[in-house]
Amino acid sequence: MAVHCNLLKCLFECVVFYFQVRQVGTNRSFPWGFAILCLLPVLHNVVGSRSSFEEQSSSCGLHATIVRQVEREGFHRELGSLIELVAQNPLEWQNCTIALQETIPSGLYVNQDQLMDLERQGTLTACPETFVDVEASQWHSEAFTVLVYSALQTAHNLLYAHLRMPIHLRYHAPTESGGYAAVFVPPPKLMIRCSNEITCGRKDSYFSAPCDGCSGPQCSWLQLPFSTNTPKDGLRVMVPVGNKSLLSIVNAVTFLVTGGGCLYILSILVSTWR
Amino acid sequence: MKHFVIGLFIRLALIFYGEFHDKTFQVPFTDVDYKVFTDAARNVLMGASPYSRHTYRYSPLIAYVLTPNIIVHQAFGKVLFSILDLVMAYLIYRLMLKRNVPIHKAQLSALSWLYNPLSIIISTRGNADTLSSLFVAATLLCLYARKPTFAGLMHGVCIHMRLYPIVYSLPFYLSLSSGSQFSTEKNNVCDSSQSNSKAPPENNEATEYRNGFYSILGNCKNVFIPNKCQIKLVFGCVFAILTLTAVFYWLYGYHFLYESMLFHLARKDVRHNFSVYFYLQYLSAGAVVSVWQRVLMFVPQLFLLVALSFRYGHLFDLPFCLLAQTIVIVMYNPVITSQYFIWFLSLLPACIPMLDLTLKQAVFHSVVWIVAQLAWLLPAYWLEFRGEDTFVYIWLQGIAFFCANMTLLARLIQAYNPIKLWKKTN
Repeated sequence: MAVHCNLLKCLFECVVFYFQVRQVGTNRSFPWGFAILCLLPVLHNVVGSRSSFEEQSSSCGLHATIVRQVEREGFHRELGSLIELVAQNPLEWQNCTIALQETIPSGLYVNQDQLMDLERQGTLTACPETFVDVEASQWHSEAFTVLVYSALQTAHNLLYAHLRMPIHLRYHAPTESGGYAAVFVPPPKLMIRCSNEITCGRKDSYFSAPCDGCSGPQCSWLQLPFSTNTPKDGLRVMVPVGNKSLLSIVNAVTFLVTGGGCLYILSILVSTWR
Repeated sequence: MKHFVIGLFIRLALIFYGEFHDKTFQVPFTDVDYKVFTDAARNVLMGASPYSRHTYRYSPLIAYVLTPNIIVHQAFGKVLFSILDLVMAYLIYRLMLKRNVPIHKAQLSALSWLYNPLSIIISTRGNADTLSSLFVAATLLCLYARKPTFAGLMHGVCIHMRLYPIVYSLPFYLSLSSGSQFSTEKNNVCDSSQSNSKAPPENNEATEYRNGFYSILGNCKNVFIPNKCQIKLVFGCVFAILTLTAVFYWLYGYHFLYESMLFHLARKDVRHNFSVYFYLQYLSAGAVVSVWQRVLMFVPQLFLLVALSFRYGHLFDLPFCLLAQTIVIVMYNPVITSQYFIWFLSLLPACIPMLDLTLKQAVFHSVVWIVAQLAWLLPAYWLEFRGEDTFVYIWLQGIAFFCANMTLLARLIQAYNPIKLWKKTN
């Protein structure tokens, strides 16, 4: 029976994955190489995580996958998540909202004001659960969580949402040899809430969280297990860091230049003194 | 007058475009701080402190002035700044006339502000830095009009708005000195209150100007013992600062003090910026900053500011003095963003008639200055938007930009020739 189920799940995965490629393939910034690469971990999950599948069978007949990637380069990025739910009974899930609870590590931040603008434009509803200092460096910061909300679009038995949240890298402490530091974005927590009350699933997979914003009334959310392309320690983002071994030379040259500039201007002042 | 209408029209058109741009494109036209101002104004209207908006680091006055942003329209502030831009052009014109600059040259100075693409863009993006430039110009005008108390008050408000004009205090103070090397008039109004000679004797002035160095020793006493005007100036300034600080401290508490003053004093931003000190600060971030490093960062700036104050602390030279000082504080600042350039660009028009530069030279220096900025922007772009490790190049370009500015300052000092102007007018 278990083997049978696994095969079935594999079939699901393939269908889902086909959709993923079709979906994100229309997005101009989606790299195809990445699409092929992400197939591997997804398949790996299928084979390797039978226990999570058992949980899933208790998850109200929903099968969730999240394909994640960090788009763009440099200090200003976008965290893209394609969430797809395959429903055994799609009619039950007509008016549902999903929420991702993202853990933003200390090396990254989201800009609350930017998120508020995006919400006003209707592009994205997301808000950090704490105050975020957008100016602090990584070594002065701590990880925090962001709640990202989205309605679900429906195509037959597939419910999906594509979210892109702007994230920004913090400055990292310089290291002895410079180069790059790595920041890891861990996988999120996926939650769902419907206008009609959901009663299925285990009691302990229900959470209380704000209904559609950081504050406001609390709703009951059902946490869903999901398979994802994200490695265990998270998506890796590289950020350039300063080279500490240059400190003495930078010190010397900088002060030579600023001191020299001062003397130069003073000499000009003296030479033009009439 | 015609030009004022055209200038206003250009600005209004850009504000309209900005509204359209912000709705259409991802990268907004509007300044980041403008939203901060608007949010702070909203807080004020709701009876809260403007400082409850994170990164609001300005005087509460700005939030008060911009409350119509919420009540009337979001673009109110931009229109206001644009109108203030026109007022600034008018002040420059008046300032030139006060200094006996021929009318056509005075007009040219005003026009160079009115049609300056940088000033147009900055005011229409909603940057409040024009406001402090306006107060600086107003202070100068008060000084020329022999109203030291008003000048002091203006200067105090200006320091309250933005901290940097505090370095102008010394030249302002010196310019009112009774010592002949600093005062414009033989019978200074500060010494003998009954004499109020309208026409400054230019010829005498020119010779005195030349002999300035020799008389400086003899006038030490006059420099250091304050006269009536200087006391008025200091009183006005201290009164304005203390009143404003006390009122806002009473209203908003320590938060006001920290955000609008202490923060700017202790500002240390390790993220990449135009400053020559950027990489040094970043690399030594987290480590204990040694005393000598602090001293080395502070002393050259201090020397230059004091030297410039004494060299150009003459009432007639004041605009140039402020220009040179501003270039120095901006270039030696640990953090430089492009909005700081407006601080000295706003003083440039008032100095143009006194600069002995051909058009070709002026264009050449402007091009060098802009190219040095672009050369910095290139590695900064690769770092910020491409994620490449270009820190060393940014640092080197920062040094190059510093050198370009120092050379520019040196050329300006060499080209500054007010005597030529007097000769022409006489």
